[in-house]
Amino acid sequence: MSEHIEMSFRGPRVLSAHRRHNFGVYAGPQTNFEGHANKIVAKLEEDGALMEDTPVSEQLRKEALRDLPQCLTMKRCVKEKLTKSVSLKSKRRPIGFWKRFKYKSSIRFKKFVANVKNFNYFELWHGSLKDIEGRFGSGYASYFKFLRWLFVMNFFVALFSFPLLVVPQIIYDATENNNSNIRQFQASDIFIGNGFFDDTVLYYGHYTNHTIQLISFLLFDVPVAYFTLIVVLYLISFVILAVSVAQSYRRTFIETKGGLQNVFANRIFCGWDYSIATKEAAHLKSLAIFNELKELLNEERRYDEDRTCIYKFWTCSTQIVANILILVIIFGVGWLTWVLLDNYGQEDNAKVLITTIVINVILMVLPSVFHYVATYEDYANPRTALYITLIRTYLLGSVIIGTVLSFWLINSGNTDCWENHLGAEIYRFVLFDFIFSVVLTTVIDSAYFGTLFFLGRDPKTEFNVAKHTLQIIFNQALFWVGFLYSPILPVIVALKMFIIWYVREGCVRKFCKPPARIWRAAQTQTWFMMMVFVGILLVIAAHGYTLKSVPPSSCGPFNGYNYTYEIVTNNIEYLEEEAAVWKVLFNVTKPGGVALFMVALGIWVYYVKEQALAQREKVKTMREMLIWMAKDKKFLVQWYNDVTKGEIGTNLRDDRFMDPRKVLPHECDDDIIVRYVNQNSSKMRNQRNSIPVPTHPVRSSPRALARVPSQRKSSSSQTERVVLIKEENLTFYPCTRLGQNDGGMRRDYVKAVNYINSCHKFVNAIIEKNNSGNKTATFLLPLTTNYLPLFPYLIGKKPPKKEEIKPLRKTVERQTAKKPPPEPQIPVGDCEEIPQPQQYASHVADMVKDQIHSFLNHLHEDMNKAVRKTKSETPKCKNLDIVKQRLEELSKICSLQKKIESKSQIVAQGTPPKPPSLPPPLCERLDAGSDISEGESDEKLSQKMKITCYKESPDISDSSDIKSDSDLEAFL
Amino acid sequence: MGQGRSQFSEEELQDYQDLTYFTKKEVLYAHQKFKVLAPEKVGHNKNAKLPMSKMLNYPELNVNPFGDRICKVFSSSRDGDCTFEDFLDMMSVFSEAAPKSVKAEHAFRIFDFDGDDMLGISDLKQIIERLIGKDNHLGEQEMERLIQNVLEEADLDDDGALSFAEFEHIIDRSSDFLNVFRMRL
Repeated sequence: MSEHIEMSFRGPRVLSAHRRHNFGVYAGPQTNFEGHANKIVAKLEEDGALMEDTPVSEQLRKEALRDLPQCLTMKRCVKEKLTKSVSLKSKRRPIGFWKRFKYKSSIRFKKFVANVKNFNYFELWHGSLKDIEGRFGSGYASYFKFLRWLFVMNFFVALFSFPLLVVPQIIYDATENNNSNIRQFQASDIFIGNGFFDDTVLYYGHYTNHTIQLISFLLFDVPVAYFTLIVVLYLISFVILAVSVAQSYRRTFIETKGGLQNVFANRIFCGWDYSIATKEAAHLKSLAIFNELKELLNEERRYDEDRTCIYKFWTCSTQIVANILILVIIFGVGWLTWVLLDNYGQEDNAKVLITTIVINVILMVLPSVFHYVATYEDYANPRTALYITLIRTYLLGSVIIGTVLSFWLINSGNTDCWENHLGAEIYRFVLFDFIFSVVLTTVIDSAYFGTLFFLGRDPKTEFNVAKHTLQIIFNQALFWVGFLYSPILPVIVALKMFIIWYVREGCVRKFCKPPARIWRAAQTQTWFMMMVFVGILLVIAAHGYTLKSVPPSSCGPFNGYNYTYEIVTNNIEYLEEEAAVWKVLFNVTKPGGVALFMVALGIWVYYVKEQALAQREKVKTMREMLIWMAKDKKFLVQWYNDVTKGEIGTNLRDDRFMDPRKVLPHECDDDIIVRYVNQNSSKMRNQRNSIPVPTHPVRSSPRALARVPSQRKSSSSQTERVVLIKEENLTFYPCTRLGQNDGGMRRDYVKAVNYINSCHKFVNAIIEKNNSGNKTATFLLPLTTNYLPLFPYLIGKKPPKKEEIKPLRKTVERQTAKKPPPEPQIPVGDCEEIPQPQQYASHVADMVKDQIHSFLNHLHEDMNKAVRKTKSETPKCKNLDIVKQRLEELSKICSLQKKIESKSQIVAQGTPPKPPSLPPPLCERLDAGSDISEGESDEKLSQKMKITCYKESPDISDSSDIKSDSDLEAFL
Repeated sequence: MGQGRSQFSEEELQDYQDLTYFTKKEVLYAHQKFKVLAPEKVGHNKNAKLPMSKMLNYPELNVNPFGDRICKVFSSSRDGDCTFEDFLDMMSVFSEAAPKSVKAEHAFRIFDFDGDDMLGISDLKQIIERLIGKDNHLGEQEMERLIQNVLEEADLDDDGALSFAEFEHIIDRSSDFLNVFRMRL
């Protein structure tokens, strides 16, 4: 259970700190160690919350460090450095009282747990579990973990019920000297549970309805204690179960969206069981994986073939018949139970055992029958068959328990002390279940093992996890039914489970071999948990009914009350503020109050559901956009390869975007680029004017954009449809019903498409022009193509007003008509001899740099906005994990972006002395530009940036970037 | 506690407890396990560096098809030789208490054979080959289809390789990963 108790305050901030901070993997020799550590320290120091001199911050620091995927030696080094610098850097920031309290208490709790563990604790049955995991894999171990979990739960119930209920009664018996047990003890009583035991602490009937004096001052009201303790224990178990079922359900079904997606990826990445430790098990595991993969591949093929109609009809009718048959059997068993109880249930001698024995035999045989039937029903998936068998077996158990319970409740009127009878019935069931399913099964198993062994065949069989787990679930359900009537039952059940553990462990070790098929524990485990949960739910409902409307008999603590619940009402009446309590209760339970509550609940559910829907749509769209952008990237790379004719980009993989530094020849650095430009200066001069420049989206030709015009009424209408263009082949791309604030997103998306198109043309043209020369293409291309993915972001800018555009256009036309364009004022070094290409190059670089800077600024801004917004928008339903995940990705991108920024700054500052032949501004610009794209997979980065670009795009009214665009136009 | 205690100072233990998912007692227990791998070396120097061949004697690593990768990923010198701290780190990541994100990070590194921070086709192929063992063989076509299927499921941006984000996406959606990516100390 330790995974559930993961400390809750480890925020997403600390998680996956590595990817966020991007420390890289420490790989160098010892000398590099210090440097790397310093780097990490510097990064961590940036986070203010980690650097305070408070225990909370210290805890956060520890956790951040703990989750870093660095080696431990590194972590220790970093920790030492951090503790030193903390005292220097700490700023005290006020922290809310509640938060501080929360943190402090959780820290204390953690310390306490650690101390307890350090004092004397090691996981219960740790050694055996490890051994089983090592030899048989985690599948078998899941059964044992489940058993252990139930054992611990029952043990705690016993720990409370025994001293608080049983012990006082024993003391009472001893002091009052009313040892009036008439019956003599007989050995058979142990099995029958009647006779001598009838009047012992084993059953409800023995408990007194008096208030007893334990010590001179301490009065102990047995009825109240009995009632409160039982109710509280039931409720606590219920809550614990509900929480763990919910958690388990969320983990296996919601977070994983059913867990059945990504079949192949799952098999491969989660295929190996890392806990396996023996050769034999490992060999079998490999084989199992191999078979499973083969099966999967075959299945994939088989789905292609259509199954014939007749075949479908046949299987369908078989299944229906089988289901009916099995339902008949199950209810037949229920009826049989009733008849047996009716005939023998009230006897006092060994005849009562007939019911128990018959039912237990049925319980042993029928599951195998069900399993057999399921194989004939021919389910498409063996998992379905397993689940159906499980459900049927579970139903059988519930019907039997239900029959027993209802038999006694219905007959409560005409039996004296019916609670004792019911308690005894359950006691017998628990006992005989043990005899049959543990002792007898073991004997049979060993006999089977023995015969096969002597026959010289492989005697080892596989352990049936499902069957055995169901057996303990049945046992647990019995316990819950019986606990109300037999306070000592938890002790018996805990003892039983304790023994079961060792018996099963021995059996598995001796008679079993590792599974040949892979047992996927996680999902089945959730099913089991749910079964236990449904069990306790039904039992609590039944008990609630009993307490409310079945009159207690004349024995036991509740005799004297008409109904058991009156013990509560009677006691409430003693309360002082009785009037106020009743008034409130009375008002709340009026129909009006209840109706109001229901309506409010309904509204809330509707609201959450709507939000969830909107988010889902949004996520879908984002995903589509991601793919769309990836295609764009693919196209660019393809086209790059086409243009360069494999000259440079031969090592460029078809569909991966590479770092330009890798694409370019190694020595192709800035000065080389400039040299290329110089060499081709004349050509450049001639061609410059005819190069089409990326125009601002607003000004671009309408041809590139197709959009259904008049349908866009207002940005608030949710259901409007806008058709967007996809790449430049004019495929229409519907984008329906986004979240509420997505009007802007759609608009920007259209602009982005447009802008990308013009960028494509721009770069295309440059290359076409330059390709006739030699390698000049390398100069602009890598730079520009790399930034292309960033360009769409620029659509966030507000379009310039029309008055501004017009004169600009005119000047452009005028310039193209005349020949030499007016030279922009760039501080030029000693490059007078080749002024214009230099300027051209520097200008492009300038533009790119400017755009990137503004892009980064905006991205940062938006990112913060988006994060804030989405956080506040995200409804509290947990099934929106995909949105959460996107958010996490967002924050990762955020950090990546930060990194780029800092890197470009560092590089810009730390450039080596510039070569004299270069004009200083160009050199700097190129440097800054090319270094941004350097480093680890900028492909990932750009791809992610794209997501964010479209994720949220508030209108940004920043006209500073337009300058660069219009500048460019003016220049041309 | 007994004999282990003498080898570690209280501070060291506290450090280990803070920086791993273990308690002090478990740290000492881990050290005993480490000692078993090479009693003569570790007896002298508690943090001795054991070569990969010795590390692979640890039962779980021994039969694990990715044993050498695990050693390399956790080794602070990147060559597969592990000190006790590396070993402790390994056990801590594989323990039940380690969160999914930490486990996913390390799993990604284990699977990334060529170290390019992407799981490419060659990586996937190697993973599959190791998984099914030396005795079993998949045909060229089957392998191709398998990889194709994996990429179809996991490769969100269609670039023919899995980035960490995509890998984590898969892991997040897997109910089995936490159950399976685990070694009991």
